[in-house]
Amino acid sequence: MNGEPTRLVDDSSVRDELRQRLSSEAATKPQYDFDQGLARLRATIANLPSGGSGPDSDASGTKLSVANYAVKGSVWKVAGIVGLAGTSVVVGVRAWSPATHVGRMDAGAAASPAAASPPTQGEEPDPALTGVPLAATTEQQAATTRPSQEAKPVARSPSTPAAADKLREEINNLAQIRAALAGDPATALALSDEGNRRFAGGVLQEEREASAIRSLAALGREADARRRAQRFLETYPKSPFAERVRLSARL
Amino acid sequence: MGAPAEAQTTETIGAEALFRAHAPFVAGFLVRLGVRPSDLDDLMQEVFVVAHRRGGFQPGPARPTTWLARIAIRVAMAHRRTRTRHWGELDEDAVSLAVGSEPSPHAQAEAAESLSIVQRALESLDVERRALFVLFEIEGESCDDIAAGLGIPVGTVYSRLHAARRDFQKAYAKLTGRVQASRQQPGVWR
Repeated sequence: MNGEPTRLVDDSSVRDELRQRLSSEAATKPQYDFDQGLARLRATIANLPSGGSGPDSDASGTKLSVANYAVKGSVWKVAGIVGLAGTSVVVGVRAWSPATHVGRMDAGAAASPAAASPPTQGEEPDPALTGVPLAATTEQQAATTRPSQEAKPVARSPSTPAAADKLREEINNLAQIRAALAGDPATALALSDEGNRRFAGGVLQEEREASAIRSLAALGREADARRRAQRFLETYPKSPFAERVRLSARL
Repeated sequence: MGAPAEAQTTETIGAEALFRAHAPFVAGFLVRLGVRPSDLDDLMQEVFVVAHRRGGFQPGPARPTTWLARIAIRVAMAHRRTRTRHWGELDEDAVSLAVGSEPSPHAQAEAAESLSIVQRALESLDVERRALFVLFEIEGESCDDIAAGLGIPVGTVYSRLHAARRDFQKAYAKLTGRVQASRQQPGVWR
C-alpha cells in the first residue's frame, strides 16, 4: 500500500542503535516448549464438549475426544497438569468447580462463529474469551460479569467422579514418568508399562509411549527403542513427539 | 524486514494446525505485550482454544497471524485485568525468557540489555498501541493486514501506529539516556 510508513528498522533517519535493537528484537524467539504446548492443547480440545469435531481433528485427536468426553468437567484441571507434566515438579493444579466450568464452556461453545466474531478493541471481552477458564482469578472476574452467560444447568454432562479420577490418575502417571525420565529411565519405563496396563486406550497413550521410547533409548535398549519408535510413527504420524522419538531411536 | 510470505489459504485452518504454524509468533507477541513467562503457557492455551471455538481460521481478508493477534490481544487484556499488579512492570523473567542462547556471555549481556530497553520502551505504550507497534515494527505485518486482522480501518492503524512510534521513540530516548548516564558513573559499569 502506498501509504505504508517506512519501518523504523528501515528508516535511515532513525539512529542505528535503535534500528539494531529492533532488528535484534525481531530475531529473538521466546523460549517456550511448543511440544508440550501442543500436547496440552490437543488434550484440551479433545475434552471440549465439541472436541474432536472441529477442523483439527486427526486420527489421534478424534480418539482423544471420544475417550474423554465423559470427563469434560475436569478437562481444564487435566490440561493444566498435562502442561506441567514435562517438568520435574508438578504444580498448579487449580482449584475450581467442574460444574461452573462446564457451564462456562457451554456458554462459549454456544456462540456461533458469527456471534463470536470479536468486537472491536475496547469493548467487553466476548464469551469465547471470558469463557476460557484457566486461572482462579479469571474465574473470580468472570463470576461478576455477564451473569446471563454464566453457568447453565449441566444436564447433558456425562461426567462421573470415577472417570475424572481415572483421568487424573493417568495424568499423574505421566507426570511421574516425565519426572523419572530425567535421571531414572528404568523407573520411567516401568511406569510407562504400568500406565499402558492401567490406562489402555487412555488419552495420554501417545505421550506415554513417546516417553517409553526415550526411556528405552536411555537404557541402551536400542533395538527395542527402534521397534517401538517405528510402531509409534506408524500410529501417530503427525505426533508432535515424532521428531523427538526419531532422534531418541536414531531413526 | 517483513512478515514471511505465506500462501493464501483457501481452506479453514484448525487450532492445531494454527498452533504448529504460528505458535512461535503468538508466544513472541504475548511476551512483547508484557505477559510473564509463568503465565505464557496458560495464555497460549487460551488463544488457541478460542481459535478452536471460533471454528479455526476462515479464509478472508485477514492473515492467520493477525487474526491470532486479535485473539491474543483480547486474551492478554483479559489477563491484565486479573493481574494488574504484574502488568506494566518490567519483567526481568520475560527478558531472560525471550533472550535466546548466545555464543558468549558478552553477547548475551548485550542482547539482554538491548531487549530490556526495547521492552521498557514498549511498557510505556498502552496495549493497543503496543500491539500495533509490535505487529508492524517487530513482526513485520503490513498496515493492511493489521487492519484486516484486528478489524479496524487502516486509517486507524496509521494514526495509532504514528502515535505508538512517537511514544516508543520518546521512551526509548529517555531510557537510553539513562543507560548512558549510568555508564558514565564510576563503578556502575566497567
